[in-house]
Amino acid sequence: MREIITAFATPPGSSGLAVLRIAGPGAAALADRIFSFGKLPAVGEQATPARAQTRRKVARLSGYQAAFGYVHEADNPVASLDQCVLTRFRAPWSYTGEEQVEISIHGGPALRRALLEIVISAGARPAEAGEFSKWAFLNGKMDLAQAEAVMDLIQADTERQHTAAMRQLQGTAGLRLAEVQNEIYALLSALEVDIEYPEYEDFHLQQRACEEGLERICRSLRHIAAGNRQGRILRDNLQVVLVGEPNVGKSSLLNALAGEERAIVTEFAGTTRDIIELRIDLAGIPVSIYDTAGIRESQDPVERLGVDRTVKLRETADLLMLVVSAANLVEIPDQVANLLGSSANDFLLLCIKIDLTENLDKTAEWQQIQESIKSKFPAFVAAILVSATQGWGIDELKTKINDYYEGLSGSGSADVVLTSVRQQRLLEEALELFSALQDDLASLPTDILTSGIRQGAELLGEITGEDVSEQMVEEIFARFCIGK
Amino acid sequence: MRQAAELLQDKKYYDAGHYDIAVVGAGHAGCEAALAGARLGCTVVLFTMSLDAVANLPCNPNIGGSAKGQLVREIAALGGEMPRIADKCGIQFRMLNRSKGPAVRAPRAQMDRRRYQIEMKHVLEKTPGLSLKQAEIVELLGYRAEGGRIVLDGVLSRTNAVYRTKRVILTTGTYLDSRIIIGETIYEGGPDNQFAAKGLADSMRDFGLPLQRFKTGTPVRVNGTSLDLSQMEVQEGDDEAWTFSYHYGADQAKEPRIEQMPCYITWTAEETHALVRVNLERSPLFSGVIEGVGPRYCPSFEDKVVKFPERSRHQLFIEPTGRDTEEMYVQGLSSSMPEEIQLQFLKTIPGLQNAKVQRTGYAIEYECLDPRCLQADLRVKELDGLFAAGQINGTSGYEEAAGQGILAGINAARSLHGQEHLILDRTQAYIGVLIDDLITEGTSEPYRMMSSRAEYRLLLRQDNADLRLSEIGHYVGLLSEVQYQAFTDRKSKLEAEIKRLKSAKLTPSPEANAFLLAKGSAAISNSTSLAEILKRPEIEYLDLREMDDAIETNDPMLAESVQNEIKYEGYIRMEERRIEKFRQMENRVLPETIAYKHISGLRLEARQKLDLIRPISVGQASRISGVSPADIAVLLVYLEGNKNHDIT
Repeated sequence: MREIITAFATPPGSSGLAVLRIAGPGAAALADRIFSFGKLPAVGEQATPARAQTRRKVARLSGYQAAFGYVHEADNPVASLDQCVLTRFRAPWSYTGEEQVEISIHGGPALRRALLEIVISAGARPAEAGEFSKWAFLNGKMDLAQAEAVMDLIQADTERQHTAAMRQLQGTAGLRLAEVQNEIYALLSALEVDIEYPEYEDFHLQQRACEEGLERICRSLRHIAAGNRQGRILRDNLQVVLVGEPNVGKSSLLNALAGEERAIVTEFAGTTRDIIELRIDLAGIPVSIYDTAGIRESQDPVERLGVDRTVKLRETADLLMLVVSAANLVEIPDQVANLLGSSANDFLLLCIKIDLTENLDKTAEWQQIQESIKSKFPAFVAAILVSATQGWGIDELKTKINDYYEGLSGSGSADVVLTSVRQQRLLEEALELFSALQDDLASLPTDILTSGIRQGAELLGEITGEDVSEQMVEEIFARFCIGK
Repeated sequence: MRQAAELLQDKKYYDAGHYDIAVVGAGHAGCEAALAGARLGCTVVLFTMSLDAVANLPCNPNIGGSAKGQLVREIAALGGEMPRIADKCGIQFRMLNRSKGPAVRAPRAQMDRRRYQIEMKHVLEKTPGLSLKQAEIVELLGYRAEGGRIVLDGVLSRTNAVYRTKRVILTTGTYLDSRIIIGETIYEGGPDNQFAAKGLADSMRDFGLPLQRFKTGTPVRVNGTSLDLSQMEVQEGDDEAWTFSYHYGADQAKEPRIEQMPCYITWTAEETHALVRVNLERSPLFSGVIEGVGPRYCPSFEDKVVKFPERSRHQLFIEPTGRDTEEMYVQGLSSSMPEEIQLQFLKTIPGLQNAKVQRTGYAIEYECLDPRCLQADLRVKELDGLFAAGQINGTSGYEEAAGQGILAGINAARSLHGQEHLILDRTQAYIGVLIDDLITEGTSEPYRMMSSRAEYRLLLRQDNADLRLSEIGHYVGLLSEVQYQAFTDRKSKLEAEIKRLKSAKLTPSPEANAFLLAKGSAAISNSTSLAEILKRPEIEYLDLREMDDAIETNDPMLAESVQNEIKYEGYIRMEERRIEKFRQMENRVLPETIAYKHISGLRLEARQKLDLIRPISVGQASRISGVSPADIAVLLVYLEGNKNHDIT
């Protein structure tokens, strides 16, 4: 039962192209779920490729054959991501000697992350360091001399990764991870001691204590996950999406932000003309700002597709910037509600100032509007009055973005953890698992509960490299007093 | 190192005959090993230093408990003796953890100690091919064969008898060079004032076996007539008549339970703890007299007081030890304090103020093996013919000992018959978890089986040990035909009932919904299978009889298994998927001849550990502390390289 593994074969960071490698038996079948042949439907086109296209399959491509097409969510061609070129490799004529697929896409960090997530959601697992080389060797793709080199390489690679992980874990976030592990062990050993020594009345665990324990664990994990976002942002940029009615002044705002910095403006994904990405560096924080198609309810299927992509981008954004006009202050709360729709993302509110409202920031009216928004929308971060043409408020905006980033960890900016996809997934899985246990607590018997908590502990143990079983036995004896 | 033939040239020694297997020590490991060997057709001699100490329970007068109860069930499923005798001699049966889910539910019973010993001794005596002898073995006999391997060829008794044999199973318990410690009093001796075994440990060292020194202890026994039971809480056993054996009565006369007895609960007081603190310098544990490493899970009472100073009281259990005696065991008061202090303890404890002490508590130190010298079949590595089982392997507990004993007995017999050795892995049995832990990680204290050590415990349940192991028990030949027939009957009944529940439907009639609502469960609007209904947490298998006439009401064990298999189906599938992954690594065999010291890429620590433990599979290698995932990757690469490119 060999799993399908995946990772980018190209180095991290921005580049023109990025190549994702998917290897293992079933790689082509997996690719067929996330890849469609032909041109990405342009805005307005129906997402119904020609019949000839739909009959084509990656699995049927011959070795080394490349295909032009686009990537989309698993089994859902409408939710498309980007145009790409796919290359099929047949066993044993591939790097690893197994069935393999490589996908070349445009190199932006957001796009890379989205592609990786799609492939993982379709059933692949992130590859370990040196894993492609390992399989290459195991499948006899290397000669004896190369083999010895690979062994040293795997050792070195994994150790480097390990050292990097350990270094990260030394920081405050590492301490937090240790803290939450302690909480888990405390709860688990309390449950286990009651199982091992049921006759001791003192060790009967109350349901309350269990609820509280799970609550503490979930809270701590969420806290770490939040801090963890900073690590992800440093690698993949802070994703900010501008949202507002057409012609409200988004473009000039973007130009104002771009004007002072060495900014790169690109067409997003090279396909849809209505999403623009601006990358800037704010005091060391890499930021991607996207200007999107105006969000309007539209009956026109042409426009809907563009809007769909915008909606997707908004969902995954770290921060939204809602752009409204300051001409009519009273309408602002309604406008915010409209623009946000069902989104729960954090947002900054940018009010485009016009000359008539020059001293607005000093008025009680402006204060009231801010208070009202704050009370209505929990995801509200701050409101800023800006004028792109005059250059007002741009510095304040940058400061607010910076503050937002700093605020993510809750305790300073040194909290960078878990930069590998694998580690992040482990943390997310653990959080998911503990939340589920918390929800189902009332109906779970102790044996299932402990087995769930234990799996959660194992997930975190994989990040820190601890042996759960031995750790737990130690805990039981350290915390409880039992025996003949 | 001396050879049997060499000794026999000296008139001082005489030839006591040839046996296929010699078992040294007739405790719980030795009894199971000897019975397994004899039942598999070998001639077996079983040695004990005292015929009155066969199958002794020198500490807790009970068998089973959390994880230990699962072990006893596994011994039953394989065709062992402990469960049958425990069923006969139990004076109080309790199913522990009933409300905590089937994975941790565990049977335990208080034993009539003497009766247990008498029954076991009698079974041994009646078993064809088995000779039970009172003799102290003082030396292993053997020689170094060509190629450097050591080959056993006999054992020597204190009375100069040479027993010629090619298989020796060491089951010496806590007797090797043991000494008893009670405060300032220290003397050589084994449990219950037996003699210590002298000489054998030296001989083992001579054979190159790695020994370590462990410590354990036991509390005072008091005369029940001197207790004030009114000051204690009574603890009765279960009414339901369950047994450890799956088919009690299938191949032996079913006897009614002997008259049951209660246990009692009391607590230590602040004054008891004060006595410990005042006299701490007289405790051999704290004065440094005791060198052996004691177990964390059964600390002595003075340990508990020192380690948990905030606790104002500790729970004690007063347990009967038999129908024909008033002697009671005081669980929780294990101590090596001077006798005088132990007597003072009792005066401060409610109900025990006037207790008459019959046996003083003591600590015992003994030699045992570093179990990393063993293989998964319990054979000593690089020593032809030697096996070890029980406390000599660093474990603690009767059940752990018996579980190892039966496996060692089976494998000694199979090795003589030229058959493949039986190895149980972590997914099959607690016995497998126990042995894998021992041989892979070693142990720095007496090892107690705990259910938290088993990572697949949803599958390793007490209700399904027969489903896991009885085919194996039958295959190796330990399970009798009658028992096997009873097993296959139960299995097919179980499968049929599960199948039936999956197809039989409950229709959304007013009666059905009234039934569901009465159980606190949601009403149904579509026909729903009984299995789906049973998956609801609030519905029990036996509840279904109100709605379904075919529910099995006369076979509680079947009802329990049906319920567990259906209710836990989803979780069991999840665990099976984890097991598939586990098996992948377990199935990658590491050749015995592999030269770890010369593998490029392995870190130094990994090379040393792998060379010492010589794991049988990549899976086992990955569980060795100090062997990193990177080392495993290197090992995999090396293995493949060996296969594809002939690296040597």
